[in-house]
Amino acid sequence: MADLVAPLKALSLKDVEKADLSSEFAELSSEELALESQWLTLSKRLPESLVEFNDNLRNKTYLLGNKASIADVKVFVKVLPILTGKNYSVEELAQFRHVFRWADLIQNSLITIPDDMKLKLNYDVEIPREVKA
Amino acid sequence: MSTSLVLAAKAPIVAYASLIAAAFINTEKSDTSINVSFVDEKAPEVKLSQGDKVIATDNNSVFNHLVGLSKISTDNLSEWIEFSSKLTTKDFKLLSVELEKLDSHLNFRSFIVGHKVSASDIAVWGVLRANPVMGSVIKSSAYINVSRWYLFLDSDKRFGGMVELMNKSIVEIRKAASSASGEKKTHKA
Repeated sequence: MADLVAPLKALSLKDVEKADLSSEFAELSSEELALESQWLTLSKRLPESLVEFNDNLRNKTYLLGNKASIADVKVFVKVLPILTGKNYSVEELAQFRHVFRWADLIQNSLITIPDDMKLKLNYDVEIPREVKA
Repeated sequence: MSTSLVLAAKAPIVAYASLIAAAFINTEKSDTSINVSFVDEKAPEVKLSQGDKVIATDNNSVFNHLVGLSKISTDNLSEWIEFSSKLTTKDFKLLSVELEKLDSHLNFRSFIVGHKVSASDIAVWGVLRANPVMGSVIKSSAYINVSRWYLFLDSDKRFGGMVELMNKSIVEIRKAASSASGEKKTHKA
Protein backbone atom coordinates (compact mmCIF):
# COMPACT_ATOMS: atom_id res chain seq x y z
CA MET A 1 0.00 0.00 0.00
CA ALA A 2 1.05 3.56 -0.64
CA ASP A 3 2.73 5.77 1.88
CA LEU A 4 1.08 9.16 1.57
CA VAL A 5 3.71 11.20 3.30
CA ALA A 6 6.69 9.63 1.66
CA PRO A 7 9.23 12.43 1.90
CA LEU A 8 9.12 13.79 -1.62
CA LYS A 9 11.47 16.62 -2.32
CA ALA A 10 9.72 19.57 -3.89
CA LEU A 11 11.12 20.35 -7.30
CA SER A 12 11.70 23.80 -8.70
CA LEU A 13 10.56 24.96 -12.12
CA LYS A 14 14.18 24.75 -13.26
CA ASP A 15 14.29 21.08 -12.28
CA VAL A 16 11.22 20.48 -14.40
CA GLU A 17 12.89 22.07 -17.41
CA LYS A 18 15.71 19.61 -17.01
CA ALA A 19 15.33 16.58 -19.20
CA ASP A 20 15.31 13.82 -16.64
CA LEU A 21 13.19 13.95 -13.52
CA SER A 22 12.80 10.27 -13.02
CA SER A 23 15.46 10.14 -10.33
CA GLU A 24 13.35 12.34 -8.02
CA PHE A 25 10.31 10.09 -8.09
CA ALA A 26 9.57 6.39 -8.04
CA GLU A 27 9.73 4.83 -11.47
CA LEU A 28 6.35 4.39 -13.13
CA SER A 29 5.02 1.02 -14.19
CA SER A 30 4.12 0.54 -17.86
CA GLU A 31 0.47 1.06 -16.98
CA GLU A 32 1.29 4.28 -15.16
CA LEU A 33 3.45 5.46 -18.03
CA ALA A 34 0.51 4.96 -20.38
CA LEU A 35 -1.70 7.03 -18.07
CA GLU A 36 0.93 9.73 -17.84
CA SER A 37 1.14 9.92 -21.61
CA GLN A 38 -2.65 10.21 -21.83
CA TRP A 39 -2.54 13.18 -19.48
CA LEU A 40 0.28 14.81 -21.41
CA THR A 41 -1.66 14.39 -24.64
CA LEU A 42 -4.70 15.91 -22.99
CA SER A 43 -2.60 18.85 -21.83
CA LYS A 44 -1.91 19.76 -25.49
CA ARG A 45 -5.58 20.56 -25.95
CA LEU A 46 -5.87 23.07 -23.16
CA PRO A 47 -8.01 24.94 -22.25
CA GLU A 48 -10.67 22.83 -24.04
CA SER A 49 -9.54 19.70 -22.23
CA LEU A 50 -9.98 21.27 -18.77
CA VAL A 51 -13.40 19.62 -18.63
CA GLU A 52 -11.79 16.21 -19.06
CA PHE A 53 -9.12 17.06 -16.49
CA ASN A 54 -11.80 18.00 -14.05
CA ASP A 55 -13.84 14.85 -14.68
CA ASN A 56 -10.79 12.66 -14.22
CA LEU A 57 -9.70 14.35 -11.00
CA ARG A 58 -13.15 14.15 -9.41
CA ASN A 59 -12.30 10.94 -7.56
CA LYS A 60 -8.52 11.11 -7.66
CA THR A 61 -6.25 13.07 -5.35
CA TYR A 62 -3.36 12.83 -7.82
CA LEU A 63 -3.35 12.18 -11.56
CA LEU A 64 -2.48 8.52 -11.10
CA GLY A 65 -4.88 8.10 -8.21
CA ASN A 66 -3.63 7.82 -4.66
CA LYS A 67 0.03 8.26 -5.37
CA ALA A 68 1.92 11.46 -6.10
CA SER A 69 4.08 10.98 -9.16
CA ILE A 70 6.27 12.63 -11.71
CA ALA A 71 3.19 12.78 -13.96
CA ASP A 72 1.63 15.37 -11.61
CA VAL A 73 4.62 17.66 -11.95
CA LYS A 74 4.95 17.32 -15.72
CA VAL A 75 1.28 17.97 -16.34
CA PHE A 76 1.07 20.71 -13.71
CA VAL A 77 3.58 22.90 -15.54
CA LYS A 78 1.37 22.69 -18.64
CA VAL A 79 -1.85 23.43 -16.80
CA LEU A 80 -0.62 26.23 -14.53
CA PRO A 81 -0.36 28.96 -17.23
CA ILE A 82 -3.95 28.20 -18.27
CA LEU A 83 -5.22 28.66 -14.71
CA THR A 84 -3.34 31.78 -13.65
CA GLY A 85 -3.79 35.42 -14.56
CA LYS A 86 -7.56 35.20 -14.65
CA ASN A 87 -10.36 36.08 -12.30
CA TYR A 88 -12.76 33.19 -12.18
CA SER A 89 -16.46 33.50 -11.61
CA VAL A 90 -18.08 31.35 -8.95
CA GLU A 91 -19.57 29.25 -11.78
CA GLU A 92 -16.16 28.61 -13.32
CA LEU A 93 -14.65 27.77 -9.94
CA ALA A 94 -17.46 25.31 -9.37
CA GLN A 95 -17.16 23.82 -12.84
CA PHE A 96 -13.41 23.22 -12.54
CA ARG A 97 -13.20 22.70 -8.78
CA HIS A 98 -11.23 19.45 -9.04
CA VAL A 99 -8.58 20.94 -11.33
CA PHE A 100 -8.13 23.91 -8.98
CA ARG A 101 -7.84 21.62 -5.98
CA TRP A 102 -5.30 19.37 -7.66
CA ALA A 103 -3.20 22.27 -9.01
CA ASP A 104 -3.11 23.89 -5.58
CA LEU A 105 -1.97 20.62 -4.01
CA ILE A 106 0.83 20.17 -6.52
CA GLN A 107 2.10 23.76 -6.27
CA ASN A 108 2.25 23.42 -2.49
CA SER A 109 3.76 19.98 -2.19
CA LEU A 110 5.60 18.59 -5.21
CA ILE A 111 7.02 21.73 -6.76
CA THR A 112 8.29 25.03 -5.45
CA ILE A 113 7.38 27.99 -7.62
CA PRO A 114 7.68 31.74 -6.99
CA ASP A 115 4.63 33.18 -5.23
CA ASP A 116 3.76 35.50 -8.12
CA MET A 117 3.48 32.52 -10.44
CA LYS A 118 1.22 30.56 -8.14
CA LEU A 119 -2.44 29.98 -8.67
CA LYS A 120 -4.29 32.07 -6.07
CA LEU A 121 -7.15 30.17 -4.63
CA ASN A 122 -9.72 31.13 -2.04
CA TYR A 123 -10.37 27.79 -0.36
CA ASP A 124 -13.56 28.92 1.30
CA VAL A 125 -15.43 30.39 -1.65
CA GLU A 126 -18.95 29.04 -1.49
CA ILE A 127 -19.93 26.93 -4.44
CA PRO A 128 -22.92 24.63 -4.79
CA ARG A 129 -22.47 21.01 -3.79
CA GLU A 130 -21.79 18.75 -6.71
CA VAL A 131 -24.43 16.11 -7.22
CA LYS A 132 -23.45 12.80 -8.70
CA ALA A 133 -24.40 12.70 -12.37
CA MET B 1 9.69 1.47 29.57
CA SER B 2 7.52 0.20 26.78
CA THR B 3 4.38 1.98 25.67
CA SER B 4 1.46 -0.18 24.70
CA LEU B 5 -1.91 0.39 23.12
CA VAL B 6 -4.84 -2.00 23.39
CA LEU B 7 -7.93 -1.50 21.25
CA ALA B 8 -11.33 -2.99 21.93
CA ALA B 9 -12.97 -4.39 18.80
CA LYS B 10 -16.51 -4.35 20.23
CA ALA B 11 -16.40 -0.74 21.41
CA PRO B 12 -19.44 1.26 20.24
CA ILE B 13 -17.01 3.46 18.32
CA VAL B 14 -13.76 1.66 17.63
CA ALA B 15 -10.86 3.98 18.49
CA TYR B 16 -9.33 3.95 15.02
CA ALA B 17 -7.81 7.43 15.36
CA SER B 18 -5.58 6.17 18.20
CA LEU B 19 -4.66 3.09 16.19
CA ILE B 20 -3.68 5.20 13.19
CA ALA B 21 -1.69 7.66 15.33
CA ALA B 22 0.25 4.69 16.75
CA ALA B 23 0.92 3.47 13.19
CA PHE B 24 2.32 6.90 12.32
CA ILE B 25 4.67 6.80 15.33
CA ASN B 26 5.79 3.30 14.45
CA THR B 27 6.61 4.20 10.86
CA GLU B 28 8.44 7.43 11.73
CA LYS B 29 12.19 7.37 12.03
CA SER B 30 12.42 7.72 15.79
CA ASP B 31 13.17 5.77 18.95
CA THR B 32 9.57 5.81 20.13
CA SER B 33 7.45 2.82 19.28
CA ILE B 34 4.07 1.63 20.45
CA ASN B 35 3.15 -2.02 21.01
CA VAL B 36 -0.30 -2.40 19.51
CA SER B 37 -2.67 -5.24 20.38
CA PHE B 38 -6.38 -5.97 20.16
CA VAL B 39 -9.01 -7.50 22.39
CA ASP B 40 -12.46 -8.81 21.54
CA GLU B 41 -14.11 -6.69 24.25
CA LYS B 42 -16.45 -3.72 24.52
CA ALA B 43 -14.50 -1.62 27.01
CA PRO B 44 -12.33 0.18 27.61
CA GLU B 45 -12.46 1.37 23.99
CA VAL B 46 -8.73 1.93 24.11
CA LYS B 47 -6.03 1.68 26.74
CA LEU B 48 -2.65 3.36 26.58
CA SER B 49 -0.10 2.21 29.16
CA GLN B 50 3.51 2.85 29.93
CA GLY B 51 4.90 -0.24 31.61
CA ASP B 52 2.27 -1.10 34.25
CA LYS B 53 0.91 2.42 34.46
CA VAL B 54 -2.30 3.17 32.56
CA ILE B 55 -2.10 6.60 30.94
CA ALA B 56 -5.58 6.93 29.46
CA THR B 57 -8.60 4.87 28.45
CA ASP B 58 -10.62 7.04 26.07
CA ASN B 59 -10.01 7.71 22.41
CA ASN B 60 -9.63 11.49 22.69
CA SER B 61 -7.05 11.44 25.50
CA VAL B 62 -5.12 8.54 24.03
CA PHE B 63 -5.19 10.11 20.58
CA ASN B 64 -3.96 13.48 21.87
CA HIS B 65 -1.22 11.76 23.84
CA LEU B 66 -0.04 9.74 20.84
CA VAL B 67 -0.16 12.74 18.52
CA GLY B 68 2.08 14.52 21.02
CA LEU B 69 4.62 11.69 20.76
CA SER B 70 4.56 11.78 16.96
CA LYS B 71 5.72 14.23 14.32
CA ILE B 72 2.24 14.64 12.84
CA SER B 73 1.10 18.23 12.33
CA THR B 74 -1.59 19.34 14.79
CA ASP B 75 -2.66 22.67 13.25
CA ASN B 76 -6.36 23.38 14.01
CA LEU B 77 -6.65 19.95 15.60
CA SER B 78 -9.02 20.85 18.45
CA GLU B 79 -11.51 22.33 15.98
CA TRP B 80 -11.52 19.09 13.97
CA ILE B 81 -11.71 16.83 17.00
CA GLU B 82 -14.81 18.74 17.99
CA PHE B 83 -16.19 18.30 14.48
CA SER B 84 -15.39 14.58 14.51
CA SER B 85 -17.49 14.12 17.67
CA LYS B 86 -20.55 14.99 15.57
CA LEU B 87 -19.78 12.21 13.11
CA THR B 88 -20.56 9.34 15.45
CA THR B 89 -24.31 9.46 14.86
CA LYS B 90 -26.00 6.67 12.93
CA ASP B 91 -28.93 8.97 12.21
CA PHE B 92 -28.40 9.64 8.54
CA LYS B 93 -30.21 12.99 8.61
CA LEU B 94 -27.95 14.34 11.34
CA LEU B 95 -24.85 12.83 9.78
CA SER B 96 -25.59 14.23 6.34
CA VAL B 97 -25.63 17.79 7.70
CA GLU B 98 -22.04 17.28 8.89
CA LEU B 99 -20.95 15.43 5.75
CA GLU B 100 -22.21 18.33 3.68
CA LYS B 101 -19.96 20.66 5.66
CA LEU B 102 -16.99 18.37 5.19
CA ASP B 103 -17.73 17.98 1.49
CA SER B 104 -17.79 21.73 1.04
CA HIS B 105 -14.57 22.10 3.08
CA LEU B 106 -12.92 19.66 0.66
CA ASN B 107 -14.02 21.46 -2.53
CA PHE B 108 -10.59 23.01 -2.95
CA ARG B 109 -8.66 21.00 -0.40
CA SER B 110 -7.04 17.58 -0.74
CA PHE B 111 -6.38 17.26 3.00
CA ILE B 112 -8.39 18.68 5.88
CA VAL B 113 -5.65 21.09 6.93
CA GLY B 114 -2.77 22.20 4.71
CA HIS B 115 -1.22 20.17 1.92
CA LYS B 116 -0.25 16.98 3.67
CA VAL B 117 -1.80 14.49 6.01
CA SER B 118 -2.27 15.84 9.55
CA ALA B 119 -3.76 14.78 12.87
CA SER B 120 -7.07 16.34 11.79
CA ASP B 121 -7.34 13.90 8.88
CA ILE B 122 -6.70 11.04 11.29
CA ALA B 123 -9.28 12.24 13.83
CA VAL B 124 -12.04 12.68 11.27
CA TRP B 125 -11.24 9.59 9.19
CA GLY B 126 -11.03 7.41 12.31
CA VAL B 127 -14.53 8.35 13.46
CA LEU B 128 -16.03 7.97 9.99
CA ARG B 129 -14.40 4.54 9.56
CA ALA B 130 -15.97 3.42 12.82
CA ASN B 131 -19.44 4.59 11.76
CA PRO B 132 -21.38 1.68 10.23
CA VAL B 133 -23.47 4.08 8.13
CA MET B 134 -20.43 5.30 6.21
CA GLY B 135 -19.86 2.24 4.05
CA SER B 136 -22.93 2.89 1.95
CA VAL B 137 -22.34 6.66 1.97
CA ILE B 138 -18.91 6.19 0.41
CA LYS B 139 -20.17 3.57 -2.04
CA SER B 140 -22.93 5.86 -3.28
CA SER B 141 -20.50 8.78 -3.80
CA ALA B 142 -23.23 11.06 -2.47
CA TYR B 143 -20.46 13.32 -1.17
CA ILE B 144 -17.97 13.38 -3.98
CA ASN B 145 -15.17 15.22 -2.19
CA VAL B 146 -15.62 13.25 1.02
CA SER B 147 -15.42 10.00 -0.95
CA ARG B 148 -12.27 11.07 -2.78
CA TRP B 149 -10.54 12.10 0.47
CA TYR B 150 -11.79 9.07 2.42
CA LEU B 151 -10.70 6.47 -0.16
CA PHE B 152 -7.38 8.24 -0.67
CA LEU B 153 -6.55 7.85 3.03
CA ASP B 154 -8.03 4.35 3.07
CA SER B 155 -5.38 3.31 0.54
CA ASP B 156 -2.59 4.23 2.98
CA LYS B 157 -1.10 1.40 5.02
CA ARG B 158 -1.44 3.43 8.22
CA PHE B 159 -5.15 4.09 7.65
CA GLY B 160 -6.97 1.31 5.77
CA GLY B 161 -4.02 -1.01 6.29
CA MET B 162 -4.24 -0.77 10.09
CA VAL B 163 -8.01 -1.32 10.10
CA GLU B 164 -7.46 -4.40 7.97
CA LEU B 165 -4.77 -5.64 10.35
CA MET B 166 -7.10 -5.18 13.32
CA ASN B 167 -9.94 -7.02 11.59
CA LYS B 168 -7.67 -9.94 10.76
CA SER B 169 -6.33 -10.12 14.31
CA ILE B 170 -9.83 -10.15 15.75
CA VAL B 171 -10.84 -12.99 13.42
CA GLU B 172 -7.83 -14.94 14.72
CA ILE B 173 -8.72 -14.17 18.35
CA ARG B 174 -12.29 -15.36 17.79
CA LYS B 175 -11.14 -18.52 16.05
CA ALA B 176 -8.77 -19.29 18.91
CA ALA B 177 -11.51 -18.62 21.46
CA SER B 178 -14.06 -20.82 19.72
CA SER B 179 -11.62 -23.69 19.26
CA ALA B 180 -10.64 -23.40 22.93
CA SER B 181 -14.27 -23.61 24.05
CA GLY B 182 -14.84 -26.41 21.51
CA GLU B 183 -12.03 -28.36 23.05
CA LYS B 184 -13.54 -27.95 26.49
CA LYS B 185 -16.87 -29.31 25.25
CA THR B 186 -15.23 -32.32 23.66
CA HIS B 187 -13.37 -32.91 26.86
CA LYS B 188 -16.58 -32.87 28.90
CA ALA B 189 -18.27 -35.30 26.54
